[in-house]
Amino acid sequence: MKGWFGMSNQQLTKMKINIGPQHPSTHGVLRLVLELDGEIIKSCEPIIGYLHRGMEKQAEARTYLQYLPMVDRIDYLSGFFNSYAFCNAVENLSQIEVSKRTQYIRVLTLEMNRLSSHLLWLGTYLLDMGATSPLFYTFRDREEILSLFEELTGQRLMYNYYTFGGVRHDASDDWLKKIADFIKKMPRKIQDYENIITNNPIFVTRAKNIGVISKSSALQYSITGPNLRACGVPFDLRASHHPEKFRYLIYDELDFDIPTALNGDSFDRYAVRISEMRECLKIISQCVDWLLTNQGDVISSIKQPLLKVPEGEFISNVEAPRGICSCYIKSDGSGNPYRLKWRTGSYYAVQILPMLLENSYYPDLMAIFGSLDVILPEVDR
Amino acid sequence: MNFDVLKEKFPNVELIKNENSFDKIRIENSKLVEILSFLKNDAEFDFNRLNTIIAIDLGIDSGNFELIYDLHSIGTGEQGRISVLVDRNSPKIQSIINVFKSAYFDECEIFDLFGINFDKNPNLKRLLMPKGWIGHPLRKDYQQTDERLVWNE
Repeated sequence: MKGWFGMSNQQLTKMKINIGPQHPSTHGVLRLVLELDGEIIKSCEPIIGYLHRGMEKQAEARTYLQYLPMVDRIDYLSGFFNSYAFCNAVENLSQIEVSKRTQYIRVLTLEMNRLSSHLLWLGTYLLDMGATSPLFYTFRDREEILSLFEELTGQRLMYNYYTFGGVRHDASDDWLKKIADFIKKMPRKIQDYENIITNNPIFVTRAKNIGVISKSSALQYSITGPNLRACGVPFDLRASHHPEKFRYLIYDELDFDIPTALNGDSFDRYAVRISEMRECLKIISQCVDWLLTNQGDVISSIKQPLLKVPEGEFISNVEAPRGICSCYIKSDGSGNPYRLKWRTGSYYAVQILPMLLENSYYPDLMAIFGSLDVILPEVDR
Repeated sequence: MNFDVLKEKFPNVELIKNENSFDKIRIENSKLVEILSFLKNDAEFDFNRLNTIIAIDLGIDSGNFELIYDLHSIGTGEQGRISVLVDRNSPKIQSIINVFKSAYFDECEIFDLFGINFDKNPNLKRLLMPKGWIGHPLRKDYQQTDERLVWNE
């Protein structure tokens, strides 16, 4: 029997649909062109670039200090990581010493930032899957972190707190005690999330065995961060197996684990991030203890606006919440970078989408895409 | 990374040590795919992850672009930097997406922003700039002369 408009049934089930760039579940301006056969996705093409701000081009026209406030905007949910990657590269090129207390403050703020970023991911991911309540819980906790950041830096998201060789203000003991209070409450709350999410049969059936990334394809596609660890590769720059090669800051003085999972599906990526939040708390409490007992100088002595970076090139790698964030700087000895390049984790997570979505069901799209924790300003830069 | 072993196998490679910089290995353009797949598959080097590809415009005077392939090894923790020079007048080099699939976006981005062509890349397109954009913005001699954008002034 012929179907509508003289088309066969097979022609009728084939459809090309466009998702985004203004779709609430893509967390930004990602556009996906999907080819569907009934409910099954046959092919997917991600189209990016809607948020391209020319971060790399703008760096060439600015001095290092002028560029510093901009780097927080690359990934607005974890601005400290970009800021650290940039400052670290400049410090290495100009051989600026960073004091121990500065490093501890940096680790403290980085890990708090990772926690807030994972909390936001958790809430919005569950919202994408149709569960509204986790969003309110996680945003309540994230709000506390942002208020603490506001007290320290004056800003909620775009901190501009690190300077070359130091940080802008020292962390007061009062503030550190507030952090200590906050992290005392957190393990209980994370347990609450686990109780309502991890043991929820609806969530588990939706998230298990979809979007499976194998170990080899994760490496092929250069996936990093929690997405890679969910495939069973214990690769984390903070605690690399080869300390002298990748480690940065004072992570080798701290005691924490690298959570991994085995299957690499959406549920595992969720589980790894939940465990990572617990590890963050461990690191934060050790940093608070150290900072309360040790004093030191944190304000940089170099003249920031006049900074001229000696000739050379450097790549600084940071383990950001969404994978490795690298900042490459080539300096020609003048006051502004000759070339600056950003490598971010989400960029490669978008690239794996066509492979992940092929032959999966359309309703699983957001359960797969959301679990990768992609953030679009970081992809487009 | 063990440079001597590589030198034995590929005699034309050259180790570049600059002050205040990381070491990089300069290779011939024609050997790019061969050397990268050797570094990836060889058990001793085991560079199983391509972190990123960095393109640099070395300026009109030097007449070259430089591409740095930043490789990581998860097993040994090594980082290797392979560098090639691409002629500015006819910028063309082999694509490596058969070795590392993650290179596809990198190559598209470099094509978009620098105008370097990648041989055998199946679908080279503008990735970040709009489709009809004129010129390649990260080149040092780039000037925005598109008349359609005059309203912006």
